Amino acid sequence: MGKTRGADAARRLVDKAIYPPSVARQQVPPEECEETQCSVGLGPDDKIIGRFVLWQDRYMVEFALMQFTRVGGRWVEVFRIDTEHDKIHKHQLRRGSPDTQGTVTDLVEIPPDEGWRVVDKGYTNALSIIQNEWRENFRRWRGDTQ
Amino acid sequence: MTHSDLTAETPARGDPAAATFAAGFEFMRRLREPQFREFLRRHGWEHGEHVVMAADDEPVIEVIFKVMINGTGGRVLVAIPDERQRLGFRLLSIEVSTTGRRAWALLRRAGKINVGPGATIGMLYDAFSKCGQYMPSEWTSPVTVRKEPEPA
Repeated sequence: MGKTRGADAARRLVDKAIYPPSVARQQVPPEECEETQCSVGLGPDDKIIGRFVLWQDRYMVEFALMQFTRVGGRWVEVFRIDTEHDKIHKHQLRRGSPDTQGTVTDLVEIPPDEGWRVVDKGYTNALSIIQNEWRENFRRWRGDTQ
Repeated sequence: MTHSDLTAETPARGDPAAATFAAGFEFMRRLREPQFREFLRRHGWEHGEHVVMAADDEPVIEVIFKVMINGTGGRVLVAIPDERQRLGFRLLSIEVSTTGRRAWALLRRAGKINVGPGATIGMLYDAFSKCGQYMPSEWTSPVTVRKEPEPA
């Protein structure tokens, strides 16, 4: 009997570790959230700026990753992936255009419940996308390709 | 990596810029981990501060250049990828001081560290016990370098 209780307790612990709370993303108390922002210089003309918000230091509720390039001594945004409007989507910006949204492509919809998993996984995936497509994003921004 | 290099299909092997490019993304991935953020805070990093990737064999002067173009006049954390470290990076904070009496007084008090033209950021890291300032011959402002001990 005691063994069963122990097994139940262990299962509960495992469950707690695996499943994030089922609270809608929009209902997360702001005072329990912490924002982290970091600008990382990759080379003399390339940098990435990342921003994310964690609830209870664990569950990612939003993020934005921005590709910047240095042109004529100024840093300009080329591309970004963010989680605005309950979707993970990418923004391809264009040189000389005042449009800060650029061409928007949806990647993944974020469900209201347990959206943390999608956002968390999306953060890692977004980093891979930006890393792999860095040059292509720059070429599109410059107008070399569509 | 310069824009002219962007026409090449793949970065040259061993190119420090290419090495720091991949390391920068690894840094961003690790930033997700509370332990890693705590590691950065222990090195004086604060939310929003700039980080610059540097290869161990990268000349100091080139790293200082990157610090200057990435920073906004304040302190910048320099991250040197190092697989031997538990958290994957060695860290130095670097601040290019504004010229002025205070900066020069600080420089005199701290003592000057001579950095030869061939010195790399890895050599500079190894040379420091904790904190030091130096004046690169190519520069007109003192540079403050700070190193915190690695967490156990």
